[in-house]
Amino acid sequence: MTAVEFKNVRKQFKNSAYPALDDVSFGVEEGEFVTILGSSGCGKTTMIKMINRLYEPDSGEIFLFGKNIRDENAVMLRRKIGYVIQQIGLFPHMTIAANIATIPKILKWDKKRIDAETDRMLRLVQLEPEEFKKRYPAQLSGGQQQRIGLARALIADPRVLLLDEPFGAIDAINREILQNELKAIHQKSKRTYLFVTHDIREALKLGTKVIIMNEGKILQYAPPEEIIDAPANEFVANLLKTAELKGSAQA
Amino acid sequence: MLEEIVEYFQKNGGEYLGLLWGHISISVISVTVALIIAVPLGILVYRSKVASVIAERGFGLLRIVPSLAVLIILIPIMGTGVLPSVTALTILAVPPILINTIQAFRGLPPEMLEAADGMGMSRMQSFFKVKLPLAFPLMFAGIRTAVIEVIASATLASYIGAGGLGDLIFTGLSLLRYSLLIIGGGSVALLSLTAGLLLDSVYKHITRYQRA
Repeated sequence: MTAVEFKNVRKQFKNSAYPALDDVSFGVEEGEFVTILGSSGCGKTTMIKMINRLYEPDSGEIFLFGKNIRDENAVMLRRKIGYVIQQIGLFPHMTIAANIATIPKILKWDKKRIDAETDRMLRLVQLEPEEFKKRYPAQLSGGQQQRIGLARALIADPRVLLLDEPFGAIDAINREILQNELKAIHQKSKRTYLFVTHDIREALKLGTKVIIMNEGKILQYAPPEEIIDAPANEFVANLLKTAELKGSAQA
Repeated sequence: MLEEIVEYFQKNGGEYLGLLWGHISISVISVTVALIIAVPLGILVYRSKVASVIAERGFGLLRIVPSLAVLIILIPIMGTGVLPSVTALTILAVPPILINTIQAFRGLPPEMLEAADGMGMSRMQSFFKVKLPLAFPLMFAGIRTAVIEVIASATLASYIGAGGLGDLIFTGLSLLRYSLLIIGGGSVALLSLTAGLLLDSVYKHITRYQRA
């Protein structure tokens, strides 16, 4: 089944020379882990923020599991989509447990279920519930905070998870660990992930498929091996070269 | 002098408590009315730069007029007593609360708002669960300023017959009884100080999450 589908989506911001999204069409099958790679300003963040309607397209249509997302109330739509951002955005005045329980509380789960699921989520992201539940975000390291960000987004088991450079501000060692954990979580859950990054190694490592974007257009959309073996054009080839220069021929 | 002070408390303890209570209640009523005006107004205007400036300047101008002048101007309109005093003190208390409310909501971290929206909070949910709690510490700092200013200025309310610790000061002035001046002035100072310390500890409690 197609989880996410874009049909001729266009978006132009004021004070921008070229469209953030220029007549973009593509589909993501359920269960894929799609990484979206591009430099800043290429439209990759715009693209995923359209899926949970933080942005609306100028023209074109977006479908989620076959349903046009415009036919649904934006707030209701967002409750079904997980969302993780680079700045993490944990609520500083709430404990870790309260942060993770944000969506379950909105959905009015009963307390027992919320408690049990909060513990389960903390274990999923490799944090000991008893140690962390009652702390505040300021007492956690950046890496730990983003684990909570992930737990918060995953607790209602969304069929689609959007991640906007989630590990962009995390140190290299923790980033590596978090990447591995996220990959493992995805493989167990078989949910659909869309992951924006500007790090080519991260994109090739995590994605079951990779979208490479530049100036609002998709240059190549293929599994990572195919991108490495057969770059669609010079831009993609150059991108691969820069990654190899940094000493990461593997990926 | 000390004897006179002790004697005053022995003979007039009840009267003193009455004046203290009057002072506190005028202050509490004025700050409460100011909160009812300033907080909704601040929340209403903060999104618009122009409206914020108009609201801040408007009340800022009123505040420039000395409280004593406001009191006297209000006498022909409202007569004497509690009502004009509360009005004058409210005018004094609105600007710090209003300005801090506007600044607090303007300064909300965009990533928190995006997280709240992105998770599917309704407008009400994001207001009560995220915006208001995050804005509250700065708003509270404005409330603290207002409380201290009001307690000090409520002394003047006695001048138009609203009671309070100012009565002691004005009586002391007219009779040249220094002991009454010291009791009155000292009590107002002590009351401000106590209120300040109390509000500081509340502030520490509500912002404890900020300390790692």
